[in-house]
Amino acid sequence: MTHPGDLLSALLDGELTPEEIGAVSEHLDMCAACRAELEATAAARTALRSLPVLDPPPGLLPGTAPVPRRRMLRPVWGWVAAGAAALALSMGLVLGTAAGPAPMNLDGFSEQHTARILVQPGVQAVRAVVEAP
Amino acid sequence: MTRRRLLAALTAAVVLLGIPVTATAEDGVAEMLEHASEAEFHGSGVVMCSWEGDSAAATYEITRADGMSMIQGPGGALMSHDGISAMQSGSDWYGTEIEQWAAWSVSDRYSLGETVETTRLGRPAVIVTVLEDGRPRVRLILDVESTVPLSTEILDGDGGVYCMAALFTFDPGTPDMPGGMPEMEEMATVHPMAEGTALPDAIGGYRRADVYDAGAGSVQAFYTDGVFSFSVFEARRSDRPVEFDHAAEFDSGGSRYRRIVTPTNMWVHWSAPDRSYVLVGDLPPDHLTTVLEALPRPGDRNVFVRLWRRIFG
Amino acid sequence: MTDEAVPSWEEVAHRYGRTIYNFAYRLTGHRDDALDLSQEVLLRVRKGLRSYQPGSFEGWLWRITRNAFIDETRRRKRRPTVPLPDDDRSPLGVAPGADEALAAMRLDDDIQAALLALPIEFREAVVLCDVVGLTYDEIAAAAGVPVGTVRSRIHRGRSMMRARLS
Repeated sequence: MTHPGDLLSALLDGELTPEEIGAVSEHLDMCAACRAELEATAAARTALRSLPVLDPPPGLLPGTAPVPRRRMLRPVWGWVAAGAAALALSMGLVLGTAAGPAPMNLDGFSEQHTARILVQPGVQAVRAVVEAP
Repeated sequence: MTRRRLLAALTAAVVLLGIPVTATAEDGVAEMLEHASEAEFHGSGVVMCSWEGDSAAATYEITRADGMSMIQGPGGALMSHDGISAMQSGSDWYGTEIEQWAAWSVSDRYSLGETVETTRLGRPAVIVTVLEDGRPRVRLILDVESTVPLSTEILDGDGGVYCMAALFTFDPGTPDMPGGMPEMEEMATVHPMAEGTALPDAIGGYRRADVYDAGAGSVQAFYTDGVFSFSVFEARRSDRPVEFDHAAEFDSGGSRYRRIVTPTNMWVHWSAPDRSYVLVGDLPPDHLTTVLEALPRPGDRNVFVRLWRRIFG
Repeated sequence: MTDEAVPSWEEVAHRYGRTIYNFAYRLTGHRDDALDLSQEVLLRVRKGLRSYQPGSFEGWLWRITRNAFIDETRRRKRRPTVPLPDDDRSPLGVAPGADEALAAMRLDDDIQAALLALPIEFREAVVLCDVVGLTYDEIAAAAGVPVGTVRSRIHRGRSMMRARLS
């Protein structure tokens, strides 16, 4: 198939038919550019979904007293630019391809931590571990 | 199986009646996570974490059947079965076996919130919110038929999404799996240590479940609250992970740390006066702040201590 | 929520008021405009409920909301480009130790500014999807365009956001 483009957002939103999903996944397997686009799109989507929910001013809703203002928000993200570099670095780190000698064996740490979380349920196990190898 | 029936009843109520259901069972979260980790399926997905200026994402494939999981990420494959995990490097497999581990339990700060019906990947699904002390912490979209989470979003303390994982293909049923674990080139056993560390028994709602030998004089303290987990590796002060040399610095509780964000984990490194530390885990940033505060702080060794050590060893 | 009894106006306001306000704020970038728009929507809902036929309630509601926004936009022709930071965002919060809060605010402002820079059709699709949480079908029904168009608008909208934020 040609580059899936629009279908990548639909993929993240769970809006594709099984046939479309099959075709897109097949393409993603082979196309690094589309994988990068998928990751960047996922990042933009998460940024949007991280926007705080604002309280309407008092008086808009019937019979409501002014709602206490939500406390100020977390410092999530100004990224995207740093994304690619961070990904390369982190992958290098956890995939054991980091160059040079490491006096502290992070690969070993990664394996031990992964092995331990896999023996119990929890969110990590549910999400699947992709960085351990 | 009781919990299976309970969850089935819960989801059936949602699906059939189309009404939001609030699970009141105290152990609802544990049952749900346990059930979700048992289902058999094949799928592919995308996972990403972002924190302040850093984010990382990856796509992966996962297959679960016969009590065995196989995950293929950008760097290779990982298989796991009954305490043994095997990682592929080139054509060889390397195994890690955990010798023993503490029983799993979910902190009572978590409960199940409202359940709302939806559809995902063209299948009936339910949105389930896991609350922490009454506030949303994890948002899962579960496939109704199999209870497999099709989407997981982890929220930071203020409600923003800090980490997300979503399957974009999902094939339930009994997928093909290799007959057993692969032939291992090498097998490492992780031994527990009875009195290995002075790290606290409990930090910010997490309990220290296990302590293991991490080789070369290092110790692994594994903490979990049943939903999120992290390990603190304690090493000699002179041990230094070179991977962190160019990592981003950040402030927490008035101290400086270095961090690397990967698609599923946060890695943090710092050196305290006597020991060097690496923390790795999937805990949300606000939890991390609390945890770092309770662990030995970064700092240079006191000049008198150095003098003392030089004189008396 | 589909095929059920017609809710009362109060129920609609209570249940959807906040979401409508957030939709309006993310589209306009101004609190005053968002308030005006939300009030207009609730007014139209009040009028419309009398003749509303049970069906997909949310589809109906978001069609009204979206149409109110389009009408307002046409009427005013005064469209903000990049919003000034809202002064009332948190006057109390800008007290001691607020560096982090300020940084977070700036990031949210960056995201909001990138959103406002999108052409209106893209902004609308992205907000309905990522802020309101509608499915593509619901967005298509609200905007009166085919699902394929929704798909393309959402993806292009996100791509533009990403380019602007990087």
